[in-house]
Amino acid sequence: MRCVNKTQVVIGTGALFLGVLLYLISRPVEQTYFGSILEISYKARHWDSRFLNEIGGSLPSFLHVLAFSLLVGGLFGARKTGYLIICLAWLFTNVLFELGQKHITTASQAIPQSFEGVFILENMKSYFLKGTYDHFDILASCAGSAAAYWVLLRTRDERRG
Amino acid sequence: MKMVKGVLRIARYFAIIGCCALGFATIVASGGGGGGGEAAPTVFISQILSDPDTDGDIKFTAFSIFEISSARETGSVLAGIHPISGDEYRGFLSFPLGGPGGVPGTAGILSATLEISVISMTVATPNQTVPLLIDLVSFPPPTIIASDFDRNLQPPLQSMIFNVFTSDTGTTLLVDVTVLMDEAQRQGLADFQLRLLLDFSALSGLVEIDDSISETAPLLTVEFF
Repeated sequence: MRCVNKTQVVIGTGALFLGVLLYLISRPVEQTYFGSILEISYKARHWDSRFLNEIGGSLPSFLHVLAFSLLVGGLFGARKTGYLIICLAWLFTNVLFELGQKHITTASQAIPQSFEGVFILENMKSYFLKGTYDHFDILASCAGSAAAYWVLLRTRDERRG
Repeated sequence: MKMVKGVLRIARYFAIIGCCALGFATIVASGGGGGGGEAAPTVFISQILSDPDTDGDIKFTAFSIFEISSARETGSVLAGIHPISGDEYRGFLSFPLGGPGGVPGTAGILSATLEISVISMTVATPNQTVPLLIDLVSFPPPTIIASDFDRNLQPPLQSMIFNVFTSDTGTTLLVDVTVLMDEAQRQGLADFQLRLLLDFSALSGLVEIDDSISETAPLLTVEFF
């Protein structure tokens, strides 16, 4: 295992913060589990601009894959193949969840009953039932994965840890 | 120094695992997650009791005679083959989908569950499993007729199997009939009608389903948007 690549972790963290920020300002609180559990009282500050609605649709998918690929890649300190596996794994995860919103019945039936009442996991069924499939999210995830791989390669550290 | 390195390595593993967990959590907790600005559909739930005037069973005796019974009169619906007499019963349940509290023709089906109470079971050997075949059919109400018994004359539009165990006697069973409801909706059927019969993999076994009072009568629960 190599050293932690701080550059990658910092960029990943930045992308994650940007994604969270975008989500908070572009989505009505009641539509997110985040909002319901934190009871964030900023409903009035939800920016209902067309621009944010447009980019708020698929940009979080892009940023999610980008951020977590960079974070895990940076922490893991992998080689080229490792980076590729990490990026593809996050792409696969995001695509799987997105497809679950298309095949709602199959996805919601695959959720174990034991998830009921478990923090975060209890929202999984609701995620599939209330979410809307969007092929642009798939494309955004693919772009996020490609961008993450590119950044990981550009910022990789050859030194051994 | 070696110990510090070990601790750091463990901390790093935890950070990676934590990062992955956070990644999953952010997807799930993002609620509607993605969506391209489209509004999430509202989910509705309909609970529909079967129509006792249409429900019933058809008995095919060893002497090739059809006998039709109405659930309104018997208070139950039979499905299967009697292990001693060899008489075959095919049960029919009908759920009206129209009207208030029904399922609109344009609705997308999320799930459909059939709730039935098993009054009794007649089996050849103890602890026997009775596999029932559920056919989605479309027979014109108000009553069933002898030809509805025949799978050639009244072909199934979709079928599925579910097992009833002798231990299920006196209990209420939940059967996932989403695949049948999907087909009924796709074909635009006004009624969700089912034919229950013994699966061809079994020789005998008879199940009596309660269809007397509304508390225990067959109930269809549909989640749709």
